[in-house]
Amino acid sequence: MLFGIWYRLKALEGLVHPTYGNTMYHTGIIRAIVETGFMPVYDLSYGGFTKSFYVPAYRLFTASVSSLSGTDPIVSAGLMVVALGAVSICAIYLLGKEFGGPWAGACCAILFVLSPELTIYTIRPFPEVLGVPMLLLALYFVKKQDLGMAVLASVLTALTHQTSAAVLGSVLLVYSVLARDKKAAVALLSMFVAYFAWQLYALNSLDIFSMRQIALKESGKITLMHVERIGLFALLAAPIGAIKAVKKRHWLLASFAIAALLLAKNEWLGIGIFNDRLFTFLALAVVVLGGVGLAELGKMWGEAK
Amino acid sequence: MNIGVLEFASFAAAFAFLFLAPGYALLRKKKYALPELAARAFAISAGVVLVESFLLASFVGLSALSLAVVVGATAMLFFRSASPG
Repeated sequence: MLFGIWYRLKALEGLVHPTYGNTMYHTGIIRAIVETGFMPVYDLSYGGFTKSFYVPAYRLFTASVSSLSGTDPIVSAGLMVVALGAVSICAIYLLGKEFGGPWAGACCAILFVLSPELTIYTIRPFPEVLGVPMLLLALYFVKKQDLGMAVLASVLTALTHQTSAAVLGSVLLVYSVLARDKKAAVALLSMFVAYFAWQLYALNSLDIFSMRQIALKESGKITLMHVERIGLFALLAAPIGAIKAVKKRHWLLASFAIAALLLAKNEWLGIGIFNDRLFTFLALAVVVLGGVGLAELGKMWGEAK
Repeated sequence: MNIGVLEFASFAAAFAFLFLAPGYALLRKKKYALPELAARAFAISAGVVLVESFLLASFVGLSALSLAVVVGATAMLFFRSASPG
């Protein structure tokens, strides 16, 4: 946890923000919310005449903390990376613990902190920094069969980050079918309703296929470099975790891996969009599998001694 | 980025403040281990902040919509209880 927090403090080292990625696109809107008290319906970039299709939770959450503390929105967005990084580590520990005990949780947390792919994704002030922990918490509450919290976390994921929501929705769909879990189906339905209610409000349309990024098939190719960035230990231990998931009938973990793989390689389904972004969630699934696998290896080694 | 101690402390206090009410309520209701308590408190806080921001500050339109839903639901309940049988 301390290492993860220390590493995320680098989010504060830039003159303004880490300049790679369009971080100011989001921080600009956070500043506008803090200064006006209203969320801009239109994007601030490109002349400000296109409606914003981004879901609002991350921006509202950061703006709320900024207003409450009186901290500058840019500084708040940087500090939010650190605070939500700690929440992510806590969330992946809890999820890993559900599949293989406290050691598995600890291994998942360590692999999460050490994974370059996940670090790149969660070290910049983007909606992802809230989307990743909300996704993990939603899966945790589904595993705990806590319907109220699962619905809450799923709805929050849907309203935080579209890519995280697509992954969570796919995992819940696969899991509902594999395990015939009604609570997961209810969580899926609730996030579906929440997302489309927002889209109807923000864009006056339920059509997701006409959104620019989808219509233009925005995507980056997955290369060997992406795979290496998951982390060596996670990659090596993940097959053991996968075997345990099947043997112990951890259908939620299996569904996470299946759905993340199908989404990252969605060109297999004839879609071919956001491959590199969705790949990060495959890395997240591999890290959870790897953590469970490492703990299992430790257990086997302890028994052999 | 220059961040003063006061600014950092102020942010940390505001972030922790969000956890206080749900964390306290959960502590009273059921004994959870610290990570689980934090996770639940965080999810509830994030939900409360989102709803509060939606309804009170950011979305006048949605606020009116939610008011219409509440009025509509109350009216439905009223007419249902008033109808014979």
